[in-house]
Amino acid sequence: MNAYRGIGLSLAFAGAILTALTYFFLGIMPLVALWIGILVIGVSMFITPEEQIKKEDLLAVVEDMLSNLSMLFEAVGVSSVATYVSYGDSVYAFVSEKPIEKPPKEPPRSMLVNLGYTKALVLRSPLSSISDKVLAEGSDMSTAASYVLVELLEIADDVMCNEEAEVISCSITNPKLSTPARLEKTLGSVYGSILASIAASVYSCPVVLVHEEESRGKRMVVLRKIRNE
Amino acid sequence: MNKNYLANTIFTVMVMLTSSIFWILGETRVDAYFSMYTLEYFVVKALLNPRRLYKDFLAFVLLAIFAVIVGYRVYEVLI
Repeated sequence: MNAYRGIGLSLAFAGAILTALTYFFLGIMPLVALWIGILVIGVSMFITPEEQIKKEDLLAVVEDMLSNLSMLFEAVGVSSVATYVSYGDSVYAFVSEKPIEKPPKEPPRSMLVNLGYTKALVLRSPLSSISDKVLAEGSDMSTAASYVLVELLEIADDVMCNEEAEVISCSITNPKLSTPARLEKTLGSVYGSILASIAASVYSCPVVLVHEEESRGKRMVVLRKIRNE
Repeated sequence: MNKNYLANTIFTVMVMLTSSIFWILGETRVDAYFSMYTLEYFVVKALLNPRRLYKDFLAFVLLAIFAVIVGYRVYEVLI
């Protein structure tokens, strides 16, 4: 029960008690009517539900939508390498047969782009709209990942990221969202997409989602930076 | 503001105004106050349609009491 409903219940009880006391001991009818009004208000507040949609529910909707896209990718035979590229205030995911070594300089305007050496489907990353906010939290990958997954979205208990040369390994403790297998094979899970988007923003270079694995309450996400010469 | 909370806030203001105005006018019949509360509750419900956790049993209770009050008044007139 939230505070609002608690206050409603208190008002209802107080209204009921005061109605009885005033009626039997004071006999002031307008005051009795006022307490009855407070009783009705209290009950009305008590039966009002909490409005906020839980973050998990919201992310489950996002996950379902991504899952549908993955099914579409599978149906049209798009392969399974997702490269995340940051364009300042937005992040795009390029789904192609091989990693995008040289992404376009400008954000793509169509969903399908031909880069010469490969074709790619382009989608805005789920984290695209808040990438600025993430960068404002600091330029450290671990800090930014922890801020988004643990504090902002509350979908994990902890995130630790280690960087070794071009490879970034992130360990997510107690991930709270399940991920359909087909989503993992194309765009990556919600966790993978978010971490790859953060990495692309933080390092300002294309980032490939290399591998994801979940076991015993931990999810490992492996990313690889592609340095542009 | 959230629609559900707004409905409760408007209803509260209406109840407080009703109580004050009727009191100033010297109204002492509790059923008159109660009928107004019921009317206000249904006006707010019709306009904002706030969500409820369970079935809106408050509306049923208010309507039932209102029906009893009206029935009693009609009975008084007829006798």
